[in-house]
Amino acid sequence: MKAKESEKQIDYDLMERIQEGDMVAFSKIVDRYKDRLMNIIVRMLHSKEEAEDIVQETFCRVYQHRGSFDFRHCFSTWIYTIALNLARNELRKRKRFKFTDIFDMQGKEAEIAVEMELPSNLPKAIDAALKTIPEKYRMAFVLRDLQELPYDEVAKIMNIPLGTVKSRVNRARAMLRDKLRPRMEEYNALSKGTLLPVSLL
Amino acid sequence: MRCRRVRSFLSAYCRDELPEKRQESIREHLSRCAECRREEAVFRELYGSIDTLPKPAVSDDFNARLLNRVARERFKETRSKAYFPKRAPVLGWGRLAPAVATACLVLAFVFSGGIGLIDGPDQPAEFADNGQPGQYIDDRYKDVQPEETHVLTQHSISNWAFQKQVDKANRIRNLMNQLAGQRSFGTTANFAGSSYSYGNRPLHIILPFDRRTVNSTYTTQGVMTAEEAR
Repeated sequence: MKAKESEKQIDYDLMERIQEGDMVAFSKIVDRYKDRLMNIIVRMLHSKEEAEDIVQETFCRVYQHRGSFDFRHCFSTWIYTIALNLARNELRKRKRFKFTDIFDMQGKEAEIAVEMELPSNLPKAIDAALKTIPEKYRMAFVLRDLQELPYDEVAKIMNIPLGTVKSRVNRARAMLRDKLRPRMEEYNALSKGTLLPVSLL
Repeated sequence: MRCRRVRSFLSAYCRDELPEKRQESIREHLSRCAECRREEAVFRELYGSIDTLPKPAVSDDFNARLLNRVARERFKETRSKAYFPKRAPVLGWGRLAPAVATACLVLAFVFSGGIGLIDGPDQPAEFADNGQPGQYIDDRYKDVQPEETHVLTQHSISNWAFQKQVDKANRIRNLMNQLAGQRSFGTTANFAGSSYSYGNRPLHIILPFDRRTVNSTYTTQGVMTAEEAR
């Protein structure tokens, strides 16, 4: 808790310096948040290039609107909200124009299927399963379980009630479990030195 | 607690997100239910794998590109109205267009041989068609004669107004002379019914007291007496 407070205080100090036009402070903020934002946005958009553009745009918005930052709120909430709103806009655009990637055709599906079958590559299987979850559940899951943000902050970022966040996170976990259950049971069995499925044990 | 209810809390239980009392009751249930323990194992495996998920990083030149972009933003900010007045006196198209149009017209005139037109053709007209020098093509000017009906007016109409004034003065002089003969000089004369009436209203003329003016003549040089005129 104390670490969290000190993190917040560091953000506030940097933001004050940015408001005074200190570019070194801005650079520090970029270094603190670029990987966290990238981690979320890549999971949302599934494209590293587009995610990088969104992260860059996020920092530009932070700089443009540095004067309007309210010090009563958490800086991380503010920057995550900006980034996720931009990501949502991007997803909305995609829905409107329906881009079709040739790699999403048969070959890619086969590749994902192969990955799912490989027990040694469970993290990639989780990544692939995350793509199949609806956006609102995925966002809640990423913020809570990947970024490890508290529920109330996730609620503020997503602008939904706390109970809804909890329910969405729970739902997302259950969806992932259902998708990965056969994979993980097999993985558990292999790691325990047996080739028999867990259900037969 | 039943299995179904326990499983709904299992994901939160594995993250220690539940109140202590509920954590305890689930722990107790798991100690005696193998199915729920298997479910718990799946969740724990899932969370263990999440921590090992690859974390995508930004490219190496991300900071440089971002700072370049922010520098452009800063430059834009210095060009905003905070630094420049809203109605800055700039040379816009509104002012530039007439000057450009004039310049274009002058250039078009110059390059289309306008100067040649002013100076006259370099080659005489007689060379234009047959190319034989000394023979004018158009010599009709030799046949032009003054028209007989053309009468030049020596006295232009410009003196008309002055002449009218002189006529009026003469009429008044004649009238004055008549009145002087009747010894009614210096009074108001009533000419009702005479040629000097104006409709039904009588024309009253206030006569001058100086006799000299009665016999004077109005000329362009001024007023002269009858003797002088003679």
